[in-house]
Amino acid sequence: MPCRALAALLLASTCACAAPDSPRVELQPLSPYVHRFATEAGPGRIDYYFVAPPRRLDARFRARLREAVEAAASNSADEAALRSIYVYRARDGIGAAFRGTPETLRGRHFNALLSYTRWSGGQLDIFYIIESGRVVFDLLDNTPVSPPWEFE
Amino acid sequence: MAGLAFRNYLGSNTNLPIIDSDTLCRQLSTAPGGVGLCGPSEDRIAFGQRFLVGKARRGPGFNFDGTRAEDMQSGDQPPSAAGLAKERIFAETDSALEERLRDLVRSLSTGPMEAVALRMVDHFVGASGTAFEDATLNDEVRKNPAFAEYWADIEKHGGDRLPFPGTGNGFKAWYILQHYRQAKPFVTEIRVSLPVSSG
Repeated sequence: MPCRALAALLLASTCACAAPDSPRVELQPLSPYVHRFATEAGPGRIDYYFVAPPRRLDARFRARLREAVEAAASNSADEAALRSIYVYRARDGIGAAFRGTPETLRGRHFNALLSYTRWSGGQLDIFYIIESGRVVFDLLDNTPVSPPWEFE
Repeated sequence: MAGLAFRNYLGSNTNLPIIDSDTLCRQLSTAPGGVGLCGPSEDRIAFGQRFLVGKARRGPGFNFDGTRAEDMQSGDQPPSAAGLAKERIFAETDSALEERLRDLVRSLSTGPMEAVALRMVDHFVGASGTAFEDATLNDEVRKNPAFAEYWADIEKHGGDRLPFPGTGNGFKAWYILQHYRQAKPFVTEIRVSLPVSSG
């Protein structure tokens, strides 16, 4: 096979295998949307979102999820001493039509939870990726959690 | 720990990391005439003083997000457990339920730890809601080889977990006493002294 043809074949193979740029992660508000409460340290706030279930929890997805979560937090500036964002995977029962309570999400849908993020005193101090109710990746340390542990 | 350095005085080496019941913090205090812990100012920490060297990401009795943990709520009669009210055990007296709970902890513990578990039941039904501490429990934890691993886990995850395996009416009795009667859950406080090397 001539070298030029081989080069063209290799180039074609490379182009065919290159993954298309994965879309942004779009957070959609999930009822009860925002939950405000008092803590000893000051006001607490929780925001709830859902996303289309990711095919993979790879580095690219994690980076885009973090980008989306941080953007959501900055879009709704708040003086909360403790600020949390929960992101759930869309599924039967979790979506735009959901009208449940934080307790419903924590109970019946705990294994649909995709990520939990927290800011304490304005500082991002927790960003966990969660699968089947277990913490599997710490985004702040950028390391897998082994063994995974149950998120409560 | 940034900016801090340990300094030995009088050749001793007995700083005391503890787990504080209110904050679940690992703290240090100095032994009498023993180790001083110095900051950049070289100020000596006096005996009995404590300062924070680490803090769990979750406060005892609370979720990460600051809301009250479900297992620390009491008298709340959760709607999700309404089915329990249809069971015969639900109509039993407090004392009968308490005895079921004691049977449960007897079945799950032995020796000195059985006595600790029974004291925990007394504390629970006493409904003070205050932290529980027990010298036997402290000692058992300190002696357990798993404690080193536990301590490492505290550093990683916060260490605020004390699993209680088991099944049956004992657990139902526990649940009814806590969520439908007067008993109150509590935080268990464990103190273990550990040597800290100077550096």
